[in-house]
Formats: sequence, structure tokens, C-alpha cells
Amino acid sequence: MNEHGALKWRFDVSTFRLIGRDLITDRVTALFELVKNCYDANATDVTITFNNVSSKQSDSFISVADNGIGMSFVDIRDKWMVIGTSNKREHSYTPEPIKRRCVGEKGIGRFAVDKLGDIVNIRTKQINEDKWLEVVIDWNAYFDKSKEKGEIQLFTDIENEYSYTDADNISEHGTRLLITGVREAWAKGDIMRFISEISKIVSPFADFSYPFKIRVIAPEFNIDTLASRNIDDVNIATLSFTLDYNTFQGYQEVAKYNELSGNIEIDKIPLKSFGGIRMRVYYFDETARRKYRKDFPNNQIDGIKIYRDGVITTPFAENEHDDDKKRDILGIDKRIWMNIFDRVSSREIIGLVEITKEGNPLIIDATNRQDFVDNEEYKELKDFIIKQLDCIENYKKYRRKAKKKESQGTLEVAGQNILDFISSVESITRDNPNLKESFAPVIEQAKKTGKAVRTAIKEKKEAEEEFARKENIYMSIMSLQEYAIHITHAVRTTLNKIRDRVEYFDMFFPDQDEEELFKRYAKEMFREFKVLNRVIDYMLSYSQSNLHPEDIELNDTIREIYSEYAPIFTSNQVIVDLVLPGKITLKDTRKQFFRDIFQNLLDNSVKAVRNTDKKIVRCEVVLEKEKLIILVSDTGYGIPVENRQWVFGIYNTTTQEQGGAGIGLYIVKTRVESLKGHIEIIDSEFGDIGTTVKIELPFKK
Amino acid sequence: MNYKLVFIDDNMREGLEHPFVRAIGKKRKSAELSVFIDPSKGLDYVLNNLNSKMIVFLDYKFDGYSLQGINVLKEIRKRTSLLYIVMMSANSINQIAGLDILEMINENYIWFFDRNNGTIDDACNLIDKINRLWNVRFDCILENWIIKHPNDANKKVFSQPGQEESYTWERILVELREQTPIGKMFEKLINQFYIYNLTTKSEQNAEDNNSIQ
Repeated sequence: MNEHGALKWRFDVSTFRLIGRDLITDRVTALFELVKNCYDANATDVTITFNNVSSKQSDSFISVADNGIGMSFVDIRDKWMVIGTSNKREHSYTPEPIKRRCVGEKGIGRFAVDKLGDIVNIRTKQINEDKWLEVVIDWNAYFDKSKEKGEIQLFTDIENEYSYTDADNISEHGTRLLITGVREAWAKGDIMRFISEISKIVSPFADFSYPFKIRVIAPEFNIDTLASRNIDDVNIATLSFTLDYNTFQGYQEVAKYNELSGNIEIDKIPLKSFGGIRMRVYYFDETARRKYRKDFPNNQIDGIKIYRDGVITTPFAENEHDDDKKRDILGIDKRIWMNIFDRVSSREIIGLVEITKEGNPLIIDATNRQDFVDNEEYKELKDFIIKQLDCIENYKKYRRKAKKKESQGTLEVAGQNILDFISSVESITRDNPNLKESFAPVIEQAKKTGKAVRTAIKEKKEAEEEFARKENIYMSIMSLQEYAIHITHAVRTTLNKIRDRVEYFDMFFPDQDEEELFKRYAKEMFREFKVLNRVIDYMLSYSQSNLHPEDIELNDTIREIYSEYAPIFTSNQVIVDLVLPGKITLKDTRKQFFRDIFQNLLDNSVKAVRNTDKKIVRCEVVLEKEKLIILVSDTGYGIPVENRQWVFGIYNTTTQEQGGAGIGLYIVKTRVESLKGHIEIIDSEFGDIGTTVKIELPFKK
Repeated sequence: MNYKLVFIDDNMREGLEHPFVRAIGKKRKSAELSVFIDPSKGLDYVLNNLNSKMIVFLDYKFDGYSLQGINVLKEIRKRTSLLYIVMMSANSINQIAGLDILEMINENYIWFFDRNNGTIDDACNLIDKINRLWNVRFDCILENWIIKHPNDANKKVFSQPGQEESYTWERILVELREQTPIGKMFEKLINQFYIYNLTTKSEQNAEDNNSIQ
């Protein structure tokens, strides 16, 4: 092998830009990626040094040095310099004896250095090698090249120098990246934020045989610290609980909210399918959050993280400064629109879920390592985690009600005190008329204050009513916002179907041989327009606040809706069974509500029977004394008993993988409730298969 | 029939009567068309026909299926890296998840087709571009050779040292398309052979020139 030479990258300009500039958006992420690489190299000690980085100076540098396994010439040539063929993808665990789960992402870490500085000097050595290998990469050269006009597509014309130097000690090993020409100045806050992020790789509760210590040094800011997550920062939480498990005794602890005491208690249940987990949750109310932000300006309250054997698994060792872009893998934040005031968001809790490779073998890492394999056990784990948050939500509700009562009470007591005061003073002046003149201004003042308090109480009540009204509007807007995303998808798909046919006409019309086809396409376009109209009507109906009340014939309405579904039933080979009694007139009701109810239920039924042999959708209307009962059934895949109530919550869906958004049944429920009715899922009319939805509405003959 | 065009898209319920498919079929008559709305069925078809010249138009998002476009791509790539795949999406490339983009940009034989803005002519141009690339690919050149010289198809042309089994051109074509170890090794050997051959030839020429001088 040559002692000196040149190495070339093996990718093109656009790839370089895509990875380097789009994926690594900020410096903290960039450095974070480099530290992940150290972890994957089995390093136990990493030192990150910031030298004179507060202003761009000639001696400013950032160095990342580890005592990992180091890289060989072949590693650098075939792995470091080739994107997307990361060794880590093929081997998800690092070499023996440490065998860590790899955390670095598909070799993009190396592009992180580009974000940090112009020139990087890599110095690396594996154990027992007698020389250190040094490679110098000057990023300016790439950019100069990519700015050039013409046909230059590849970087293969640019060479990176490499050389070898003798090692004093052959047992040494590791890699050091020395980044010079530092691109942007680093303030102390930036470095502190980096320390905060990097400290989350390892669980603060983990006990490792092979530690991963990260030391950060920045002499100009007097920083020389080990980046480890300090569990003291959760001490100011408003509420916290820890759940444990015991494999031998076969139990898992769960959190339970006690409505009487307003406290969270711990209960025991049999171990779940995903195995025992340890979970710690810390909830911060508004006051605690303010204090947290003040005390730990560089840390964030950032939701629940899952650690396996002490190392973060998901959200997968990512640094995303923008909260809105964070992946909501556990589905905590998407629930928030259901009840913005009581639902717990990931910005109010810090949580750690600890699992192990041995104890939770059915929680399997997904191949992209961003999540877990979506099997039944993982679904149950996610469900378990969310359910533990329910008790915090109940606690929030309890606190909100108590506070409201408290403030209402204080004002009313103040009002009464003033009245008592006036009455006492008037009584004194009655007994001592000579004091009447002296007390007159006091009484006058007290009466004014009393009036002001009464006005305040009235205003408060009005404000509360206004708040409740706005709360309703606000929530409906939020639902609509999310709903609009689904609507646009539906609109776009329909528009594309129409566009394909129009384009076909444009290209091939007229053609006598294809007359029938053109007719069919025309009919299909017409049908798609109808679908488009339905989607738009539906969207409008949802945003309408004043739906016009009218008398409707229920049977006609149901038949009308079912006839609109006829093409869908036919194309899906669904048999429809309608059992309707005689004429039923519903007075002053809202037809649109019935449309929404049936459309959503029918959509669900069609989806449910799609992959079953027997495809029947049934609707029966029964008249009872002062009650109208509507039963909508299908022979689909059914809903498990434990989910019968849950499916009515917004975004709660058992068919997420099939594109279910969890909105349909929520709308059905709200519509039924608006009609002063009740909805539930009962045992299927078809026995072991399918679903039956029962709607009860008040009805007077 | 010259090559296969496979469409895997849950919105193409009309099958071969889907206007997009039909229009392409009318404009590119040498293509044999197939349409699958179920991604797993489409994947099965592709994997069972790897020894054909094939372009797969693959939808990125499948509503109601656990298997998504990216998964189909990965499954195909487990078997072969030679197949041309055109990823179709109703969203622009910017709206596709970053990691999926990473998966895709590392692929050699992949294109994007924007279903909102791309026209049938755009799709046809893409097919033509792939056809031009086929003309220079080893497996395609071999296929053409076999078509033009059918007698060569069953000639035993290759065997591994120390092993009795020998391979015909027809068999080698299958091994190449399916990217089996034998197929990959053969392609590498052929390339090395030509590089060696051309190098020695050029050295020989240089020597000849020198001797002339």
C-alpha cells in the first residue's frame, strides 16, 4: 500500500447537496451525528473540544476524539467515503465484546463535518496497527467544483490527501476528527444545548459495564463537563410516578388516578405481551414549566423516550430543535386535538421507558431503526404508555375544576363580606345617628365596591361562557385543520383520476374503435365529480355552525344515502340488507347529521368487508317506545371488545396501517350526541364475525 | 413483445383499462403491460419475472395496505439491483419522508414520476430513456444477441474451475437478471476480461508502434 496517496468520494453533486445541506440542518445535529459515530465505534470515552469558536479566528477548531476501534484504509475508502452503503445497516450491533446497538444513521454523520467547518483532518488507528492514518478533506473544493457550470456531475475528480505516521504505541486505537475553518461562531448557549441533547443518548438510570462518557471542553466559556443527563432536573415536576414490574411474580405496575384524593396510585396487573417495562413519568404544569425553562434554559421538556438496555431507541437519538418537526412515534401529540385543555402533550412531560433485549424480545427494532416493528406487542406497548398518561389527564381536569371553583368562591365570598360590612355599618348608624354623617362616605364606598364585585362576578361568568363557546369553536377548527389534510388527499386523488381521463381524451379522441371506452371514461369522470362534490359538501357541513333544522323522512334519507353508495357496493361485491319499518318522520332535525353518520359507518363497513369472503352490510331501524334504534352491521373483521369505546375517540383507529385516520367514528359520535342520542358497539348481529353499531335516538310518535 | 411494463398502484383499479396505462400501451406498443393494485401481488409478479426486461411503475403510498412503495422497492432490491423502478407519487419529492429519500437516492436504477404534474408523454419519455440505457447494459446486450443468434442460446460457454456444472448463455442471462452470485461473478469476470484484453491490446499496439519506430 502506498504511504501517501489520494482518496476519492463516490457520489454525485446532487446527492452531496441533498444529504449535506438538507438533512443536516443545524450544527448541533451535525455534532450529534459525529458523537453517534463514536458510540458505534465502541468508544467508551469521547472528548469534544471547542477551541476559540465564539468568533471566527484562525486557530478556531472543533475536535471529536474517541478511543473507539478506529478505521482502516479500507474502512475509509469503502465505508466512510461511500454514502448509503453504511456498514451499520448490515450490522445493527457493534463488534464484540461491547455489542452495542448502532445509533448512527446510514453514514450521514460524515457529512456533518461539512456543516461544521471547511477542512477536516481525520486521524485514525486500529489496535495493533503501527501507523496512524491521516486523511484531509477540504470541503471548499467540492463547493467550488459544484458551482462550476458544465457537465461535471461527480466528485471523482477531487482527491483527498492521505498519509501515514508512525505510532508510538501500537495498542492505542481510536479516531480524531479535527475540524478547522469553523463555519459559524458558537455561543455558550449553543454548546450547552448540544450538551443537553447529547446527554440523552444514554439513560440516566442505566448501569453499564461499558460506559459511554462524553466530555465537552470549551476553555473560553470555562466548560469542562461530562455530558450526562441529570435526573435532578425532574425534581421540580408537579407530579411524577414510577412503574416497575416483576417477572417472577408476573406483574406489571400501572398508574391509576384516584378521583377522591386527586392523587395517582400504583396498581398491579398481569404482565403484558410485550414483557415487563420500567417507566418513569414527570409531569410539569404551567408554573413548573416556567421554572424549568428558567432553571434549565438549554434543556427541553420533550416527551417520552424509550431506552433499551440503557441506550435510546426511540425517538431515535435525534436532535430536532423545532418541536413541530419531532416524530410523534408514540402518538402522544396527535391525541391533543381531541381535548386541547386536558390532553397531555409531550411538551408537558419527561418520560423514560426502559426495556431490555432479553426481557422484551418481541419489541423488535425496525430495519430503519427509527421505530420498532409494528407488531401486536409494540401496539400494546404504545397503548400501555398512552393509557398511563390518562391518569395525568384526569389529574389536569381535577386541578382545573378545583381552581375554577376556588376563584369563583373567593369572589362570591368577597361580595358577601362587603354586603355584611355595609349591613353592620348601617346597623351601627341606626343605633348612633350622630355617626351617620361620618360613616356616609364609607358606606358609599363599600356600596360602590360591592357593585364592582357583583359586576366582576357577572363579567367572570360571561367570560367563562364566552371561553366555553370559543373552546368549542377552537376545537372544531383544530379538528377541521387535521381533517383538511385528509380531504385534500381525497380531492387530489379524485382530480388525478379525472385528469388521466381528460388527457386520454385529448390524446386519442375521436376513435371509432374505442367509442365505448370513451363513453365509459366520460361516465367515470361524471362519477368522480360526484365524489368530489360529496367530499366538498362533507367538508362544508363540518364547518357549518348553523345547520338548518328540517323535517325528514328517515327511510327516504337512508335509502338516498345507500343508493349513493351503490357503485361502491357493486365494485366491492357487497350485499346490502336494508330492514326499514313504515314511515318515520323526524321533526326539526338536521339531515346532514344523518348523512355524516351513515356515510362514515358505510365507509367503515366497506373497508372492513373488503378482504373477507362474506360481504354483507346490514341496516335495521327499530321503533321502540320513545326510542328509535338504528343498527348498522357488517361481516367485516370486527372490533375487539376492549376497543369498543376507544374507537369513538378522535384519531383512535385500529386501521392506521390501512390508512384509517380515526376521524370517522368520532364524527359519528359527535353527530349522534348532537341529536341527543347515544351510540355504542354491541355484539355483532352476525355472531363471531363483523361489527354492529347501535344508535339510540329520542323519538316521539 | 420487447419488454414488460408493470404498474403497481392501488388507484389503478381499472387495470389495463386505466387511462394512464392504456395510453402508455398505445404509445409504446412493444411493451407488455400488467397492473396490480395490491402491492404484495405486484411484488410477487416482479420477483417471479426477474429474468425479463422490465420497468416497474411503483406507487409510493398505498392506502389500506401495510406494504408501502418503499417496502416493495426494498424487497425487489434484495433480489436484484438491475431492475428499473419508476417511483410514482401524488406528492412532490420534497414531501416524501427524508429517510425514504435516502433509501432511494442510493439506488442506481430509479426514477421519480410526479403523478400530479407529469403527463403521459413524460412517462413515455422516461420509458424511452430507460430503453436507451438498456442498449448498453450487459444483460440486455446478451439478450439481443440470443434473439439474433438463437443457435447460441444453448451453447455451454462458462463453467467454474473444479465444478462440473456448466452454463449456457440462456442460463447466464437468468443468473444475471436475478443477480445470483454466479451472475454477479460472471459479469465481473467479463468486465475484467475486456479491461485486460483492451489493456494488453493497447500495450501490444504501443510495442508494435515502438518496434516500427
